[in-house]
Amino acid sequence: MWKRVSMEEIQQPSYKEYTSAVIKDLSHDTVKIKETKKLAGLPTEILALRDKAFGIEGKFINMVKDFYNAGFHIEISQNSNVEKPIVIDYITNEQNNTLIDYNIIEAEANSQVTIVFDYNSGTKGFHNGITQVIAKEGSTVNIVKIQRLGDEFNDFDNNLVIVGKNAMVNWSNVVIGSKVSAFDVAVYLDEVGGTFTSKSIFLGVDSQKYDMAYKVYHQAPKTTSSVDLKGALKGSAKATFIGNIDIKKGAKKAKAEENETVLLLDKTVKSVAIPALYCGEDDVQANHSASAGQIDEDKLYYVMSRGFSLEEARLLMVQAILNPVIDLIPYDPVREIIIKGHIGRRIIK
Amino acid sequence: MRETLLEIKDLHVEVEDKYILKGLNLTIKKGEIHAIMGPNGGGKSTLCNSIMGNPKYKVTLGQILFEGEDITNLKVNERAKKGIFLSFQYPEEIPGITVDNFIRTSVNIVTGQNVTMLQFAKDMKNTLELLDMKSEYRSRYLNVGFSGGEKKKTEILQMAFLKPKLVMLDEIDSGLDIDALKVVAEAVKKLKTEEMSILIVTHYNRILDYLEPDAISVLMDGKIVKSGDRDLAKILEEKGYDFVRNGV
Repeated sequence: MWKRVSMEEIQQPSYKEYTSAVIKDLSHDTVKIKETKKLAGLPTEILALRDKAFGIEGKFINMVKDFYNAGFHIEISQNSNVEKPIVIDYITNEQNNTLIDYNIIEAEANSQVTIVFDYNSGTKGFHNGITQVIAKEGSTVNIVKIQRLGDEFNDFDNNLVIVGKNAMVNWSNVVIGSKVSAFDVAVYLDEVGGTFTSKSIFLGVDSQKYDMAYKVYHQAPKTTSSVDLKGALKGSAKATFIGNIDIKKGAKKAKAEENETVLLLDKTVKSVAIPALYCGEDDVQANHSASAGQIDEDKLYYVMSRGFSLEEARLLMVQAILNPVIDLIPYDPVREIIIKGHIGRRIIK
Repeated sequence: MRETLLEIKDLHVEVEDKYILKGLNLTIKKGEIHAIMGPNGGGKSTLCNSIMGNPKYKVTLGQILFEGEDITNLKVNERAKKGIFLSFQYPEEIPGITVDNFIRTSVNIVTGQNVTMLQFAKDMKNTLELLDMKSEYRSRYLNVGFSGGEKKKTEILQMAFLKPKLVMLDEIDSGLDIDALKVVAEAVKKLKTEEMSILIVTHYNRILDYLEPDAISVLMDGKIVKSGDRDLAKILEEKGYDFVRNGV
């Protein structure tokens, strides 16, 4: 990973308190929310996941497990449909500039929930976190992770997703902040009929470096996964996309799909796609595609014929890639405007 | 005698190393409706793209004058700001940007003024009605998943807001059924002001029946080979382009 983001290993920060997380809408009787550090011990179901490989690197995992200073345990009761999204606002500032969060989400059978993690503000700092999601039989869990931390942040995010029988996890990463940002999403489709979808976007400008990995393990029949990542790079930004699809023997009728589309706004950017498909079963459908290219000249001409300058037209093309995902995210319109504005300012400088 | 809006002198245009226009001359008066007809590959779309300023079309010789000013080397967006509008034969799809958002931004850029939400909403409602379009189009992504006819109507919707001096309709009639063609043609007629000039590129007479051009020019092999009035279109329909080609 260090080589991919072309940097030396960073120094781990010394332990510090973090106290500025805000979580809204706690008053729902079918949702139990507790700070992870206030739990008597980790839930047995989480302890049972010890053998599931996940995360960017072992030492990031260990760091969180030993030193986490934030995070929530969220439990959704059986058969409950939580209509309003639960938003966890991880605000950073000068005092709270080291965030090590450990989040655990347990969606009981046939429950439905949407959880938005918004890592934001601050200028300089460090984030390393774990999020573990267990979606039990028939549940639907929507996870949105927005990373819009300040320009001098180092950000690491480790995710483990367990999808139960006929359960569905819909995932979305919105990556627009930090100097270095790496995430890893490991998905285990362990039981029949499980589905994982990811629609994610990134925007890298200046010298931002992103390392993004999705690793999907199909371990049961009729499991479905689809990973879609779209982004744009400007300046000397660099992005690496790792997409692993691993279909184990016995996962008959599994379907897996993986796409990456990157818009290259300058010749000085770097985009690397490393898709891999491991297949131990014949009766499956798996596709992957990756494309990186410049803005379509015909589209630019069309937009400019309506008065847009080249710069304005380029911004519009970036929005055309990113907005369809932003528009899907179930959060309040104010947040949407902030994020779209942030993207605009980063493209037109 | 009406004033000249657009004057094209000895225009030579190359696309991907191939000469398409080879010394084209054309004058469009203010307020005039001018139809360009001609066989496929004769250079009709090239003419529209050259007037709009598509960078893929390289002017190697000649001049394009708009209101007396040489615009041959002007950028596309600068031409748009001067009041030149092209209704595309194949409008591009722009995901992530709604019809409303696109048109409002474009009006603000072209006019240099911020149109109020209230005025915009009012104008939008009226124009959508004129084009027989549902108001839900406003919040859809521009041209994404639109049928051919819906795309053409959306071009006219944009034209209505940008209020150009020169409108070029590049095969506006292709992809439209008879009913939609009538709606579009009548909308264009209503939106046309006395000052506005329209250049229609078409193969068919039907749209000309609605829009009643003042002049018709035949474009073949990169040049205007014949000009005339409304009757010329009827002769062309009867006798085909060979009639012109044979120099009768």
